[in-house]
Parts: sequence; structure tokens; C-alpha cells
Amino acid sequence: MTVLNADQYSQEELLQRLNSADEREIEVINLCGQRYIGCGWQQKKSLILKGTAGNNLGAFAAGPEIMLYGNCQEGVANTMSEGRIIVHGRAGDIAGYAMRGGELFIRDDAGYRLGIHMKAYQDKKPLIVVGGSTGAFTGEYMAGGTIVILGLNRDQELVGKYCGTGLYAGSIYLRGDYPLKNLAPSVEAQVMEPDRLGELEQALEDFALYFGYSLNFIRQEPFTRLTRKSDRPFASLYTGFVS
Amino acid sequence: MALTMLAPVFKVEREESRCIKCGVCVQQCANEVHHLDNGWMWTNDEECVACQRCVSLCPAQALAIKEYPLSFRVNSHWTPATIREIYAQADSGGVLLAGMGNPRSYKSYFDHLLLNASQVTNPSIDPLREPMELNTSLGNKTGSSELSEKPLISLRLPIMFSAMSFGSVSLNVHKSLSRAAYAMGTLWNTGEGGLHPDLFSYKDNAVVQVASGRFGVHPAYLENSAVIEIKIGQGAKPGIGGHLPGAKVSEEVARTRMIPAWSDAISPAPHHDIYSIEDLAQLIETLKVATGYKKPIAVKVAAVHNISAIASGVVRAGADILAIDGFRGATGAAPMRIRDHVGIPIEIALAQVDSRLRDEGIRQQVSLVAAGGIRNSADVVKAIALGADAVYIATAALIALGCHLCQMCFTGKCNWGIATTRPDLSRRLNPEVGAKRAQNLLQAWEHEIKEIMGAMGINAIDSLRGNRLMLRGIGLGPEELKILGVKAAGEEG
Repeated sequence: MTVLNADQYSQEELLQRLNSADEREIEVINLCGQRYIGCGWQQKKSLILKGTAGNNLGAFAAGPEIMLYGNCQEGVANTMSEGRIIVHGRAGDIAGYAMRGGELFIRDDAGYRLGIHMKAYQDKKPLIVVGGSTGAFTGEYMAGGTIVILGLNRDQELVGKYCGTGLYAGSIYLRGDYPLKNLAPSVEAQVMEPDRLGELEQALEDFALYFGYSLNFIRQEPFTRLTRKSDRPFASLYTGFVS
Repeated sequence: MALTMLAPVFKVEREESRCIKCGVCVQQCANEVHHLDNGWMWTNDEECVACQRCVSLCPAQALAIKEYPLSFRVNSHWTPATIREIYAQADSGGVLLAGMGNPRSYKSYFDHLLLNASQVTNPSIDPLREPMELNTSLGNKTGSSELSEKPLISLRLPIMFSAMSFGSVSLNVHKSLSRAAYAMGTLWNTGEGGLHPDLFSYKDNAVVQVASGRFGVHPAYLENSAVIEIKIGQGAKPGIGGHLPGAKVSEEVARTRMIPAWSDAISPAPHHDIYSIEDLAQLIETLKVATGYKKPIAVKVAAVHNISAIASGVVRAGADILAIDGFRGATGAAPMRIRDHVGIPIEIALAQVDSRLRDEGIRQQVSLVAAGGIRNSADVVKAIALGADAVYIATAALIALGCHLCQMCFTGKCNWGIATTRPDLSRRLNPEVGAKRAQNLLQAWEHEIKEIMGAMGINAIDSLRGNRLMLRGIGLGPEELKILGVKAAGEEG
């Protein structure tokens, strides 16, 4: 396994070395906000990052497995279509923007506009699991895929304001209490039967495994599923006429 | 049926003595205007949009579409269109939708600019006998040599096809334009609806868009392109996102956009990863990193009031190509009030931006592409003289494919097989024929541009670029002349 000390390289050099490394596994230590790591990667390479990752970690990627021991800044998994990113820490804003496949696990909190505009198509089903809470506009314009917000060790509301605004496909799962006032009026909230968690089961198991949580502890609280209320929420917004 | 006060706009006139009751008009009209019942032909004028499909295909030439002879009392403030719009909104409570570009009678600056020609003091050039250079390269031209990391794209002529997504237009439109672009050594643009796998072979002529909805954006999409264009805005609807109604999202569209079939496809107004010039710089850099710095990155914005400051920021953010779309730019669907009242003319925006970038010494870092209402080769020449490196055309290209500008694209019932995804309608546009017609248009304009340049005594398009001395304004005020940077007709210099 190659180990790169991020301290020793400029941002450009670090990216060059990462992109040209042949090995399947690469470790980067002393990461301190370097941007664009793993951008557009299509190989199944495995990255272990230690420190703080900068903006757009894994953006437009389709394949890599990234384990980050530390926090990440904005845009992690931006428009990612395949692969897995596991963040042992917190994530900034727009994590998982327009993700269309792959998985993003965040141990702690995530910022504003988590998973907005996520999409699913056939076997491509993006998944985001957040251990803590999330900021405003979570799942805005969501068009497919799954967001799970667990609220473990929380010291603030589970989701910020306008959660699910304009959501027209996909599901957001909330664990335990959540602020009803923060949900968009266009979403429907349904409490789930504890023994029928469906697609959630695997996501929770993986989360517990990655971050050393007890699955039983996670499952102690009930889950609520948010979906769209109407099939065509915008159907009556416009009028076409022979002008 | 509820009471509507909307009378028909058009009247179908059928010359009974000519009509042979063959039923072609019935089959051809997706708006269901024509009906044949037990040997009796009748029409539902209310649904007619004047697309002229029936008129063109009637084998007996028995049909004509006229304006409906309904006369509101003459009123120059409350025009018939204004009254009808209110009726439609009172009926539905909806935002008025419109298709294609702004049709209102704002001043066209192209029509107030005249071109120069050589007389006596320098010779004009005959393009049939002497070489003429229209070859245009796009990208950041500050690179030092072949070692430069700044990729350039070379075009045979300074005209490209502008963005129209698969979904808003049929796959046969994409097939037609991609083939024509290939044949003419220029580029076509996927719009924000992804690139259909059948068209991967035209990747070297494709501009692929990354818009706020990120439809169909994945590594293979980014790789199968000549240029990646970040779409911030479009001239028909600056500041507004897109909304492809579920009814147009067929299985094929769904596959290309990578969303479930028949679901709405919404592009938010902003990219939520771009709230500033610094954020734009990051997305540009992200795309460059993701594609190994091999492709120029374009940024497309609508022409709005502070366009020159915006342009300066976009160039400083690292864009290699800046496309500016004027307020005449078209769309498959936009709120009518936005289409008709927001933005500024491309002629003004272009002159302003070219001057600003020159003043700041950053003009060489970027290629300028002008879009929005370019109608013919004279408009192209004027745009280039005002400062454009190249132009985008879309409405003109669709007209070449058969569009009759009925402006009803948003219904998805385009009888010409253009703005539709219905298989029975789409197949009316034969991509072989479409490609040839689009190619013919570009060839004709190419030759006309050479003629105009030859008359000016210019044999390379580079000598025309930003050469505003070749322009004179007619019927323009001092402020307009100043902004356009041109002298008035009759002024020496």
C-alpha cells in the first residue's frame, strides 16, 4: 500500500500522485483541506484518508471506496454515480448533491442541502446515511434514492427547516423524534413497523458495522418514512394555451 | 365543458371542391383539429396552433390556416393577446407557458447595424477563387505551446448548434444535428438531458452540458465529449430552472437522463454547489480534474443587466469558453412573462462583454460564443464583428428541420417530430434528411459569410473578430452607439 504524506505536496502534486498510483490501496495522511480528491475516478481503487478532506471529495466518481478518518468540507459525493464513501466525522453542505448511485455514510452531522436532487434509475440507487443531524433543505428536489438520518448523540433538531421541499421521488427516513414543523408540506410522514424496515435493514447494519454502533441501540427508536404526497405535485402550476 | 372565453386563434379553411377526403390531415394532426366522420370532414379550430403540417401535406392543396376572424374592439393598450392571456389564467389559475423565443417587437440591434465593403482603396476578394479562412479555435489562448495544459477545439466555421435536451426535442433532432455537426466540422450540444448511447460515436463533435439537475451526468458522459458546458442560464428564461413534464419522459428519455420513466424532471434555478464566482471556479476545476484537463470547460449564462461584470467573474473562475444567450433565445417551455420580459439583447451584451474583457486584459483567456436569436449569416457576421468568436444557433437549426414556429413545444405534440418524444410523431423527422438540411443551412451560411468577408476585403475570420469598424449603426441613439462601440452610418473612421 502506498502512503502519501499530504504535507509534502501541493494540491496539484497530490492529485497527480493519487491519480497515477497503480496500487489498489492508497493511504493519505495529514490531509488538510485538499480539494477534488477522487474526482471522476472510475477505478475500484481504495483510498484511506486521514485528516480533513476539502471540497468535492469523490465528485463525479464512479467506483472508488473512500474511507475518511476526519471531517470533510462541502460537496462530498457530488454527482457520484458509483462507489462508497465513509466519513468518520462530519460533512459540510450539499453532501451527495445529485448522487445517482453508490453509498455515502457520515458518522456525525451533515450541513445544509444534504442529498438534494438525488436520483435513482434501475439498479442505480444512491444511499446516504447520516449518524447525527442535518441542516435545512435536506433532500430538496429529491428524485430518487434513500436518505437516512439517525440522530445519534444529537444536540440539535434532527433535520433543519424545509426538509423534503420539492421531493418528487425517493424516501427520507428519520429515526426517533423529529421537528414536524421542519417538514415540507408536500411530504407525507409514515411511521414504520419496527419489524418491517425493508431497505433500511441493510443500511443500518452497514452503518453499525462501519462506526462500531450496536444495531440494537440504533433500532431502539421508531423510524418515520417521508415520501411525496402527490404523484404530480406541479401538475396544476402551469397553463398552456394557444397564444 | 366549463365555460371558456377563449375563442380560437386560427381558422382552418378547407376548399370543399378540392378536398378528396383522403384523411391525411386527420392522421397528421396530433392536436386533433381535423376529423372525418362518415364521409364528412369537420374541424375543431380551437385546437389549431398554425403549425402548417396539414397544409404542407395535403395532397389536394385544399387547406389554408388563417387568423380567426374575431375582432375585439380596437384598443392599443388591451391587445387581443393581452385579453386572451387573462382569459386563460382566469380559466386555469396557472402560470402561462410559452415555447420558443421572445416574439415581441423589441428593437433588434442586428437590424440597426450595417456592414462595410471595400471600394477602390483596398481590393475586395472573390471567395470562389481565393482562399478564405473561417477556421475558428475555441478555448483559453494564453497557453505557451503544445506543452500547454489548455486544450483548444477547432471548428471549420464559427457556427455551432446550441443546447437542446433530448426530452425537450426528439432523438431524431439530436441525430440530425450531431450528423450535420460531424459533416461540417463543428459542434452540437446535448443540452441538459444526457447523451443517448446511440450518439456516443459523435462524441468528438458534442458539447455536453452539466446543468443544475445533473441529468445523465456520469463519467462516461463527461468523457464522450469535445467540450463540457456548465449551464448557468439560458436566454429564454434567465434565473429560472427547467421542468420537463413527466408526459415527455419516455423510456428512452428516462434511460438517457437516468431517472424513472414518466416522472417530472426538474432542474432547479441555481446549481446549489454554485453560490459565488469562487464556487463556480471549484466546479470548473472539479470537471477539469475529473476529465484530466483534456477538455475546454464552457460556461453558459443568460444576458442580463450586469453581464459584463458576470462575464469577468466567469473568466476569472477559469472558464475556457463563455457562451452568452440573449433574450431572444428559445426554449421548449418557459413561463411567458419570463421569456418575454427578462434579459437583454445579445448584441448589447456581446459588445459590452468583449469591451470589458479587453479592458481588463483577459479577453485571450476565453472564447466568446454568442447565442439567442441569430437568424442568418449577416447576424453571424455582425455578432463576430461585435466580438464573438463563434455563435450558437438553435431556432434557425430547428426551422431547417421543419419547425414552423408555432411556439407550442411544451405540449409535446409537435407535428413536425421535433419538440416531442412520442414515437409516432418523432419518426416524422427522418434523421438522414434532417442532417442533410441542417448541413445545407450551414454550407449556405458558410458561403455567404465568405462573400460578406470578401466584400470587406477580409480573408480570415480572425481579422473580423471584434472589428467594430466594419459596423455602422443606423437609427441608433448616442448611448446605444456607445454601448455597441460602433460609429453611426456616415461617421468616418
